[in-house]
Amino acid sequence: MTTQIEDMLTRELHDVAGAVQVPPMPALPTEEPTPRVTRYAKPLLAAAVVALVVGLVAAVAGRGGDDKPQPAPSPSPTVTDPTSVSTAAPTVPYVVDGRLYSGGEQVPGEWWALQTGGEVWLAAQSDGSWWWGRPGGEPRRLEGEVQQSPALSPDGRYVAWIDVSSGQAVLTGADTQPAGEGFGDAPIEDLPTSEEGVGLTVPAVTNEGDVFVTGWRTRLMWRAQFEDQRSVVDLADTAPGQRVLQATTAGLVVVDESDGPTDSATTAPYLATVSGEGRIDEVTQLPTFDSVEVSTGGTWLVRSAAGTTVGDVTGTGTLQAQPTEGGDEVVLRAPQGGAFGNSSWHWEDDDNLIAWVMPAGRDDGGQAARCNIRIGDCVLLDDPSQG
Amino acid sequence: MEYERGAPMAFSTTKQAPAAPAYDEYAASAWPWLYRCAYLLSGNHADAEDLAQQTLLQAYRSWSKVSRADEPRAYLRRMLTNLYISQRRPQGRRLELLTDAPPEPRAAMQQPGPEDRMVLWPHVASLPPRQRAVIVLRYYEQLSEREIADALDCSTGNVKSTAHRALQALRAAVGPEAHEGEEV
Repeated sequence: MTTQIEDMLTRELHDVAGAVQVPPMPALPTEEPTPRVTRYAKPLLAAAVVALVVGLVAAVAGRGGDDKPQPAPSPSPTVTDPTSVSTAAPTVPYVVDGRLYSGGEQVPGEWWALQTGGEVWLAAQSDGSWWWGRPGGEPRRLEGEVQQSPALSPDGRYVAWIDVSSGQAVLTGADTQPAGEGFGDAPIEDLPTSEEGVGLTVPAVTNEGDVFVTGWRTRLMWRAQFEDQRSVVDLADTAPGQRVLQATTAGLVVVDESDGPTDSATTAPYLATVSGEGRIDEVTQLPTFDSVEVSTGGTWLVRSAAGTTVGDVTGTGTLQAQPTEGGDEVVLRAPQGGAFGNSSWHWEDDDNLIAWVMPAGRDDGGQAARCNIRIGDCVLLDDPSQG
Repeated sequence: MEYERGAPMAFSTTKQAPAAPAYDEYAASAWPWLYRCAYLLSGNHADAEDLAQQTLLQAYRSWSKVSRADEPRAYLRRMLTNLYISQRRPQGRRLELLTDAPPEPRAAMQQPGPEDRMVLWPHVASLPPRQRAVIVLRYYEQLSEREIADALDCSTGNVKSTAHRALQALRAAVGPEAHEGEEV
C-alpha cells in the first residue's frame, strides 16, 4: 500500500505540476521590497536607513577595502573609545558557527539554537537532539523525542519541553541544578501533538517553574514547581486572546490576539506579569521584533527589528537596544561590516551582550563579539579555537 | 544543475540590481520550476505567484550568497519552503478561527481543474503545511530525506516522522474512496 500511495503521489504531483499554466515572471523591483506581512514604522525605517548609511561609511573607512575579517579587534571610526569594551573571554555560553563554548571550553558537537540562562545553556545538536549543560558538568540530553523548541527559564534553573516519543504529547521538564530532578509528567490528559498542523510548543518557563504551552487553540500554564505540581491553568479562560511568547528577566513577553492571530513582528507585544491564577497584567509595551533578549537585570532589551531576520536570512548587521521601560534606542553594529548570526545574541550581564558575528558577505566562520550597550559599540573577541 | 530553460521571460534589464545580469538570467530560468513548486505547496495560482515572487525577492536580497552557493536551486527551495511554512500559519489561523468546524480542504474552494479528478491531490491539499512540504519535496522534487532535512532545517528523523504521518493521513483519506471503487 505504501508503494502504491507513493507511486500515486509521484504521478499525481507531476501531473498537477505539468498541467499548471505558469504565468510570466513578474517584473522585479528596483529597490528593496517591503515584507508582505510586517510593516516598518517610519522611525524604524529611518533608523535603519541611517544605520545602513553610517554602517557603510564605517565599513569603507574602517576596512580600507579589505574584506577579510580580522582576528583581533580593530578601532572603529564610529565610536568614542572602543577599547572600553572588554575583550575578556565571555562568562556566558555562546555559539560561533556551530561551536559551543561554555566556561571557556568547547563542548564537543555541532550546536545551534542556543538559549542561555546564566551559565546554563540549552541547545540542539545537528541531529535534532536537545541538550543542556553548565560549566564543569556533562551535557544532559532531554529525554524522549522533543517536539519544537524547548524552553529554558531566564535564570537557567528550569528547562521544559514536550516529549512526543510515545505518540502522545507529554509535557515535562527538569531542574538544571546539579542535584536537580525531573518534573515528571504534567497532569494534562489528551494533550495533542499538534492542532491544525501546528505543533504545540513550550514558549516559556519562568524562574518560578511555571511552564506555558501554546498551540493553535491551547493556552495552558502548568505550575510545575507549585505545591503538588498538579496545578494547570487554562489561560484561554483567565487571559482570553493573550499568547505568551517567551519568558525574560523583566517578565513575560505577551502578544494580544484579541483581534485575531498575530505575532511579535506584526503587533507590538508587551511585558507582563502572570498571577498564579493565570491573570496576565501588562507592565509595559514593547516594540515589534523578530527576536528579543532582555538583559540579566531586566534593564535593557535588544532586538532584531521586525522583518529583518525572517525567512532565509541568516543574520543582521544591526541590533536595536533600548531600556525595557522605554527610552532612546541604541543601534549596535556588527564589527567590520559583518552580521550578527540570527538569535546568537545573549546577555552576559546588564551592560554586555555576547554574539556571533559572521564576516561580511558570509554566513559561516566569524568570531564572537561583545557589545557594550552603554558605549554603543561592539568588538570582536579572540577565537578560543585559535588559541 | 538542471534549470528549466524555457523561452526567456519578459524582464526589464534596465533595473539596477545586485549582479543584475546573473540574477536576471537565473530568475528567469528558475521561474517555471519555482512557480510549479509553489503551486504544489499552496494549491492555487494566487498564492503560488505570491510565494514564488517572494522567494525571488528574497533571493534578490541575498543574491551574493545565493549565487555563490554550490546549488542555488537548493537555496531557493529552502527559501520557498520556509516562506510557505512560516506564512501558512497566520493565514490559516485567520481563516480557520472563524469556526469550530474542521477546515475544508483548500482545493475544494478553488476553481475546478484537471487535478480535481485526482485521488490523492485533494487530500495533499488538506495536509498541514509541514507535512505537505515534505510530500512535495519527496515525491515531486524527488529529494532524499537528508536533502529534505536541509531544506526544512530539521533532522532526518523529523522528516521521516513527518512523512510517515502524512502518508498515514493520506492512506486514511483515500481508504474509503478506494473501497468505493475509485481508481487507485
